[in-house]
Amino acid sequence: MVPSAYANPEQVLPHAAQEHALEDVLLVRDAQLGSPEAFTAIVNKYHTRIFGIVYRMCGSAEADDLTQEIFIRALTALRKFQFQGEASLRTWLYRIAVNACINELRRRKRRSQVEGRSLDELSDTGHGLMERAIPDLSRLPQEIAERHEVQRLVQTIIQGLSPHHRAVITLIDLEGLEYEEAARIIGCPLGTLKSRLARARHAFGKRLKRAMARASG
Amino acid sequence: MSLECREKTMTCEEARHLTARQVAGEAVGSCDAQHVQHHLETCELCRLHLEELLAARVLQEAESPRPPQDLADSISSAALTYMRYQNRPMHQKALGSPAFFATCASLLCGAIICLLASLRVAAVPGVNANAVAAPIARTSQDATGDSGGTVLAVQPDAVLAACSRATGYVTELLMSLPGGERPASLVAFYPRRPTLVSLRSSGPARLQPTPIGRARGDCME
Repeated sequence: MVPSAYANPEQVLPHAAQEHALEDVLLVRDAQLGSPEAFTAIVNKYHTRIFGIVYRMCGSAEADDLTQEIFIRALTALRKFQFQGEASLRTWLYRIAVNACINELRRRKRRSQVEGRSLDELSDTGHGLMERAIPDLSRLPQEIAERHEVQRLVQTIIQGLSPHHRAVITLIDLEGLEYEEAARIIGCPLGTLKSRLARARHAFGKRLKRAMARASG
Repeated sequence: MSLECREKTMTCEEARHLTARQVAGEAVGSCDAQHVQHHLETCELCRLHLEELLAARVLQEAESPRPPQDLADSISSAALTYMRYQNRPMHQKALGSPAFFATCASLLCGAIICLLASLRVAAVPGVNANAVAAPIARTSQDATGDSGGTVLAVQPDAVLAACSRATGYVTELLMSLPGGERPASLVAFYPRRPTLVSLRSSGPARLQPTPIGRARGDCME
């Protein structure tokens, strides 16, 4: 059971980034001392966003398992963690998540090279990995406005991008992070991040346009 | 361009500012829209910029996926199990550690090898397993380099190995067989611990001592 002090920090401290950071400091300190409640509070606070990153980067298959693995990895490394500024717990967790996703994508690619491709796995198109499930575009463009369909299309197109392009798009466009924080997470200079984001968006836009054109006949 | 709009050359900066507003859903004046359109027809960089903005807009409107309801609970439960494991007393932790399993596995393998070696001797026709511990022959001083080396085991076709008391080394003795063949296997048998030493397919025809391993000082008398 989560004690009230840790319950729903976003409700306790709405729109207060500084207090959020303080909350993170306390949670991390207690978790480092071995408090399961503190770690549970960290999980409750961040699991939705970490799941979102995993889902966007690796697809829905095994997204929950990978999310769990990321938190266990974080727990293992928690003792070495030190705060280096505001929102650094989030940055640190996101970095673990992005690295885990990139490793998972590499592992899947290796496995498909060794074992041959499975129909459930991603297919390498030469421009990144793409889900074999072809989006149902037969009803486009009339019904493309339906959120579910757009959602599916966006997800399929993202899955076709390279792992690094997926990472920048996921962090900046989907998670809404600032460029500086995304650069810290990915571990690249700001300029590199911006140019990578431009290329990723361009690749996304091209694929989206192609999908729309194909749908409209 | 319509007649009511004054002719204007738009800079890239102005065009990007206006396209950003349009993509964000803000209204811009019809003349501005026409100027932007005209600029985009001639400027490839701004067209690329617009495509980038549109892609970002589509992405930003996408909904975040919802995790399964029980995900947080299952992560917390897994974390709790991990923490309990980490907080166990040292001796309990050692029992479940990979090092513990590796040690057990090595001990088990050693025991199996010893058992197999002993069974192998027992299975050799004409060799009594109980007689393995007894010296079968003594090597000559020339062969082992010191006096008192003891041949510990023999298979029907060859003397296999000897143990040198002085050096503590198992000494491999290769002998030509009556038919000119070489011994196929070499096994050193200690009094209490028969041990497979090596396998060799060729060698000198004469007695040739070669140190091949420590005998732990338990060479038999």
